[in-house]
Amino acid sequence: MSARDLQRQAVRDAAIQDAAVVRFDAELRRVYRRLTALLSEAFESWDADDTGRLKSTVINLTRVFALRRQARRMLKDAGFDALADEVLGSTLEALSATAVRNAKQSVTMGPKLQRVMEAWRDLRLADLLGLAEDVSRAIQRVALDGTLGLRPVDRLTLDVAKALQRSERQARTVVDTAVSVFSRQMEAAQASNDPNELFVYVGPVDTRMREFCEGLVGKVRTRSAIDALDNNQLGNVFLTGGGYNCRHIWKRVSVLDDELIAIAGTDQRAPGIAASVARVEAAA
Amino acid sequence: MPVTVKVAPIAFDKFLPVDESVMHDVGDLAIRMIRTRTESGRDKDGRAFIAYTPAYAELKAKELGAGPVNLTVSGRMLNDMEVSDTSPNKASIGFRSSGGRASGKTFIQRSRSVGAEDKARWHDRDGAGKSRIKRPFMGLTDQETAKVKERVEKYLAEQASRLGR
Repeated sequence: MSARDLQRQAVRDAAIQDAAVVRFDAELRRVYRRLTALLSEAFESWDADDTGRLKSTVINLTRVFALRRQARRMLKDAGFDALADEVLGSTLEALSATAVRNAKQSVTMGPKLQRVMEAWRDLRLADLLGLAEDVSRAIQRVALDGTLGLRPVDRLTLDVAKALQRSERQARTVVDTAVSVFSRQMEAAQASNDPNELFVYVGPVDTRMREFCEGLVGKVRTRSAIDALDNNQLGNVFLTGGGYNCRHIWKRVSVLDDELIAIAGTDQRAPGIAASVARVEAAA
Repeated sequence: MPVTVKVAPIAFDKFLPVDESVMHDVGDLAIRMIRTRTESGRDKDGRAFIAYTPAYAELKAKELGAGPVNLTVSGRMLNDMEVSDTSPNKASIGFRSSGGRASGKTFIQRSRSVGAEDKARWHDRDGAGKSRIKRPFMGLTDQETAKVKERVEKYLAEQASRLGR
């Protein structure tokens, strides 16, 4: 092929790539519009009725965030990092601010508004779990600071209370839960993504354990079985354990640990833990 | 100063293909052994931990129920133990959180607000509380070390047998 042919070929390829980029861009803009519409609907519906709609709205938002994450990944994979930040970074924050403003403008703090605020809190805790990555950044920073001891927990608590407009007690729950989730994320980072990988549920065995944790502590489950569990508080039991303020964690089971491998999937508990649970139950 | 325990070198048969991945599993097994023993109230030499002071024991029993001296309130110290480094013949165990200072209204919150590495250092080396009582837990007893060695050899023999089939 001559130099001129090569040049023509290059020009043709560049034109094809440009057209593909334009198509891709148009396609993505449609996705953004749809996402924005979905987010708007979701936020508006918080104030819509009194009959359990709010809970389902939070579930819808979770789906919206998943879509949003996919869109961001698509954009970044295609080399549109800046665009992703610009378009996706601002949308949720702007809509969230509108939702809070609308809630505050309501005449009385009636049960409906209380539920709106509860849903807002749930959404913030969804952020905590990484469901909305932009909004969650601040909380993740808090978790990192708490884990590394860069700022004392009482200071972090005050920051979170201010940012989330919650009481200090509630903010403390967020900080403690965030730090625990962060620790579990680091544990998860050392695991493979094999659904059959084994984990043991460990942590304090005492009278403060909630029923969910008492039922599981010392037991060995596969990752897929853990993912099917529900703590009735926060999603993703692998990362949130028993929920708010939980002190337990799923620890990877060593392939050398015959004792734990032997009890995988059963109701038997790890060595030593059965006796501790029995002691606590007897005391109760 | 980080608190780590070096699980190996354990003298494995020189013909066994022990690599970093196996040593990571050695580390995870060691973590489980340290946890099980600590929760049962025994130190790294297998002896019972020194008792809590009466005031602390009373407070802990009131908040969490009676139990052995197990160095556990929030669970953060033992939960944050991790395999921090491996080489083909060594696994080190450290902690993923550090720093902070005791704060909060509840017994558990005050415990949780201090990083795991700091608490481990107090228990293991510097001494905890006003009396600076040491309760060393980071390490393996001779019996545990022997068990790790036995498990590795068994595991590698099984792997070799599978490959030979």
